[in-house]
Amino acid sequence: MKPSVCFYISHVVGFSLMFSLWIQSGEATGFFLSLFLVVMTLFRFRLPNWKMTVFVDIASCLLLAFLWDMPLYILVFPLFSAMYFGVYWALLAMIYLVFDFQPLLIVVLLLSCLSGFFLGRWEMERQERWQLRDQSANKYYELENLQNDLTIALEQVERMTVVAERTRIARDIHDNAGHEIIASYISLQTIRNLLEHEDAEVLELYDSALERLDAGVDKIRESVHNFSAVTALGVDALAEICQRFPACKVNFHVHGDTLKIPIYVWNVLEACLNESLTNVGKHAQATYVKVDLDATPHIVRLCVENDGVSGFSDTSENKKELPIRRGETLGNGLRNIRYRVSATGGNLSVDVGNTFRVICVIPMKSMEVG
Amino acid sequence: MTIFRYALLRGIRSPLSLICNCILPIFIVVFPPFWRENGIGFGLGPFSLLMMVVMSGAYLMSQSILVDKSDGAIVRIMAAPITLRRYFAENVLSSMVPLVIQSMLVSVLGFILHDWTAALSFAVFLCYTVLTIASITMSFAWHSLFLSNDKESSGAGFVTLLLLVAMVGGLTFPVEAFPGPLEYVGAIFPPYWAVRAMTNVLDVGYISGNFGLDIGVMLLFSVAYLLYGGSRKIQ
Repeated sequence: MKPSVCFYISHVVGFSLMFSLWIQSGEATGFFLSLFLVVMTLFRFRLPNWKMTVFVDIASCLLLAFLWDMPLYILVFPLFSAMYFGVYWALLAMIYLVFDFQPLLIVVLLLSCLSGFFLGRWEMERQERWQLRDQSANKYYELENLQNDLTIALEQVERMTVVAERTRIARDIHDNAGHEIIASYISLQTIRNLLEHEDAEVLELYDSALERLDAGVDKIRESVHNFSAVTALGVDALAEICQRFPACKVNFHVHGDTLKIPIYVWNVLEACLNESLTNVGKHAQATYVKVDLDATPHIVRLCVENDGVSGFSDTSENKKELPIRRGETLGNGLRNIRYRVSATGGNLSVDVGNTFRVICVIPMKSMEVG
Repeated sequence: MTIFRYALLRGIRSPLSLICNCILPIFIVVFPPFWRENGIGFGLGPFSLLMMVVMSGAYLMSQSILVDKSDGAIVRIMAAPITLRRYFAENVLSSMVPLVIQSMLVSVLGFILHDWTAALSFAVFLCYTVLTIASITMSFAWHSLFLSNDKESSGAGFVTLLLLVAMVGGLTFPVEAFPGPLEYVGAIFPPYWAVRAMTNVLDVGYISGNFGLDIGVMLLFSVAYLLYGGSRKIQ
């Protein structure tokens, strides 16, 4: 049984009693008032936010009581409703009873006020419990989303690590072993001219060895080619994301040595840049976007800045469209990125000044320790 | 006003609705035996008959919502960029227009044919118009209350209700004939107050405060029905 159901059942019972009382008198004014109270109750049933309309009920009851000398017992309903909805100012209506002092009436009205108050408190507590439950459910769903995001990120990091390692191996083979072998091959080809006077059998063996070496070189070249990553990695990946941004031109600047940044940090930086640019595209209506990547020996700092805020922050209409305003919490996407950045020991902050900036800072020391 | 136009066309193209809203009221007003002393009729005589015709006409005119519910058109309408309030308001308006014209016609014909005074003609127009509004909103509340989307069973249920309301409201015979408190049972439906208002105006011959109170009660009924049936179960 819900308190709201009790509230409406008590109204139905009360109005039925009023109707039966009206039958005894047959006075149309009484019926009019009763029906008016029914209409007002239905009105509040339809539009629950219009609680203050209980004052209209009270005023009508007092006015009709004054004009037609009706019994004030009818105040039971509006006072009961007022206490239920938490409109405690309605108790001021009791002042009227000073001029028409009836102890029994006061007791009845106080009882109705108390029952309305307790029913209202019950409903309020119930609503609070529902709100808590909703909040817990929201947190649960958010954590679930975060877990999914982190799982996906982990898989991406694994993939990127493998790709990066293959790229490193390919680079090593190409730059070191490959060059040495090619140099040896060229030397052997030069030596071939000096062996013209040797036996035919020796030459044949030599040529055969050269052919095999040639085939080997081809295979190494092919392997190096196959090892190399097709997709961009690291700073190239960030540059590619900036280049592909459709809304406006993105100025991408890199400062410092980015070679020391581990692969899982690139993954976080990519996610951060993607999310920031998506927000810019969706909400900011920016005319320019600037992306700065600073790699120092101690920290990596990614700053995504756009003029979307200053461009339309003056009008109240545009303020509604701001992705994040002062004092507001981040959206789901940026919040998840913040969790991921925090997991690496870093920090993600949002600065709303003349421009809108998302700043991601990840320490390098902790990465080395990790 | 597309919904208004189509609801109006749907309402008036039905033969039963045409009979109820055009032929029957005019027939009742112009048929002399109804208006003789001790003529045909019950309760308030032809006035009661007209009230029953108005209530039936209101039900027939207000079937558009039920039809929309039963054939699934409501889903398409709700998908369109239109609010539920506007859909409902235009439906109520489309049902009301022919019935208000009918009430006007009845009062004008009564004024011409039966030498009604201007006050009586106006009272008839006012009373029937307000009864029309109350009946339409009652029908809409009935449609939204009725759990089944079946037009026939809803119609059968409403006809039963109409007969009951007519009986307890004093349309078929005076409510004074009921024993004890049953005399006032009909007060929870608008026709009781329409009969009271018409009785009052026929007795005193002019529009009195009590007549206004009865009309006010009927208007309150309309608001109550609208609030109850306004959006309930329309989806």
